[in-house]
Amino acid sequence: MIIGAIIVMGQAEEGNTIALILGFLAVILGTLNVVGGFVVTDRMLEMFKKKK
Amino acid sequence: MELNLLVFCYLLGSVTFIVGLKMLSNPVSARNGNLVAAAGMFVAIMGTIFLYEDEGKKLGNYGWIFSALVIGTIVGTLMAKRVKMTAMPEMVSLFNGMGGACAALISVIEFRHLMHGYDATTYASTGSSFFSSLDGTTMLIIFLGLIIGTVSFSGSMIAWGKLNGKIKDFAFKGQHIINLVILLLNIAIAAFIIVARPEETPLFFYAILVLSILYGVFFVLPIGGADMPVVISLLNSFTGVAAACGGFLYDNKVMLTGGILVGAAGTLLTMLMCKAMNRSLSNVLIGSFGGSTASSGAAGAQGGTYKEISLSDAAVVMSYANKVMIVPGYGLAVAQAQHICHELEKTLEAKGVEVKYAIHPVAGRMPGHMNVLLAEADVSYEKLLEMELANEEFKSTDVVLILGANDVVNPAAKSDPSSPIYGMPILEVEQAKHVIVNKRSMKPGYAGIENQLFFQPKTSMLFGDAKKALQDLLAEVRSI
Repeated sequence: MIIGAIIVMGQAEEGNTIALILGFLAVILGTLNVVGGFVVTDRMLEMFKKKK
Repeated sequence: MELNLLVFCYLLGSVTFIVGLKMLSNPVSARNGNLVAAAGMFVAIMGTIFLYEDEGKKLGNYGWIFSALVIGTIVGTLMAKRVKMTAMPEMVSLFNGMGGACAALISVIEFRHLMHGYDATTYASTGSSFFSSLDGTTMLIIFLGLIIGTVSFSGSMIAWGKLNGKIKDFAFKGQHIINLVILLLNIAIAAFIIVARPEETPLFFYAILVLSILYGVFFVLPIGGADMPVVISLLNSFTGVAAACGGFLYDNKVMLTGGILVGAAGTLLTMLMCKAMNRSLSNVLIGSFGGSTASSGAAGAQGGTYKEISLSDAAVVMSYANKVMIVPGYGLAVAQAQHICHELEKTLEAKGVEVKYAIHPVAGRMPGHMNVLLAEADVSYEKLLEMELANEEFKSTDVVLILGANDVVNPAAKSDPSSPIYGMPILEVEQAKHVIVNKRSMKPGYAGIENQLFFQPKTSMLFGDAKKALQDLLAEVRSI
């Protein structure tokens, strides 16, 4: 997932534009997946708090 | 030294995933469990950026990496915070798709990286030695990551479209054969490349990409809304497996752990839900209820007459009951009546009536859909009984109020072997003294079959949109 995307991005050479762009996209997608997932989970869990 | 620090970071990340997951299973520690896992993820990410080394070279392009991280975080947080609770199922699907796409892109980039030393002229002169020298195992893992990630992506996108109503169910004759052919073709091409190493390898690679997109689309397209919980869970596990492939590729412990956890948990959940519906996974994926028209013809003949109950009678019978069980279904979510439902529950409880909720595992459109729906309305989660517990309480229940649920309370699942839902465990509401069913009309539910429960002597129908019906019912109860 995102770790792989970061590695791949980091290893892309300067001149290799396509790899840079694809890597950039991959990191964005991976971040969306991770951050979105955690925030959505938090929102759902928030509703299950014990209400006084 | 730095490498060992990185290994420690990954170990920490893996441990937090496992611990966080365990904490998630307990309502009290759940939210912290989520935070723990998130913190571990953060450490693993930071560790990777600053400490990762491959053959002595650290990672570069920090500017790109950080801007991508920032963009992803901002967009992801905004999207996740602003989405309406009722749009949760499709959000989950969308984010999952992003993960699949990420895995697929990684495979594409790695493939291009692999192709780097390829020079067409050298190929001709040295006689194809380039492709034969590529490592077969690496290629296999890349292909697996590509196929699984892409299928997960396109499938999740279709699921997202279906759940927000933009995409209708679409089935055509022979599509399962076509889909099977696409899958086999995909596998065949991948195997071919690994074994034969032809010059057109890059071409075939992108062919696999396209075929995988198609497969994902056709895979999910014919599946109906109520089967979505199973599909989402399955696609989720695919993303995990694709991530694990990436983990193998880089011998990266944290990717492996995360990917395997997600893949395993997703697979288990998928199997559990299939069991709850008493349908095999292949049954869910291949057919909706195509055969139902034949069997419902026979069952429909036994329809018979149903009783309607007036709002005031329903209010009376519920107010003077000792125990009321509410069965929520997808209809409750559609009508957005969860808040009124909670109001009714509170009003009844103030009158000394015990009110609980019976939650069937596949009620709704996503695992836990009803739980999330009711929690949004501040219903205390201790009132939500899962199916087995609920079934024990029905015999001591005076009134069951069914709100927009249908197939999960259909007795044909127990008694009619020709029914498409036969064998599925249901909520045994007929054991209660009275059953009141709220629906908009007598039209069948997702399974497209008649529900004999509606014609039984203990059952009365309360027609109307759930929100309106509940509002009127609440007014009547308050006046008692």
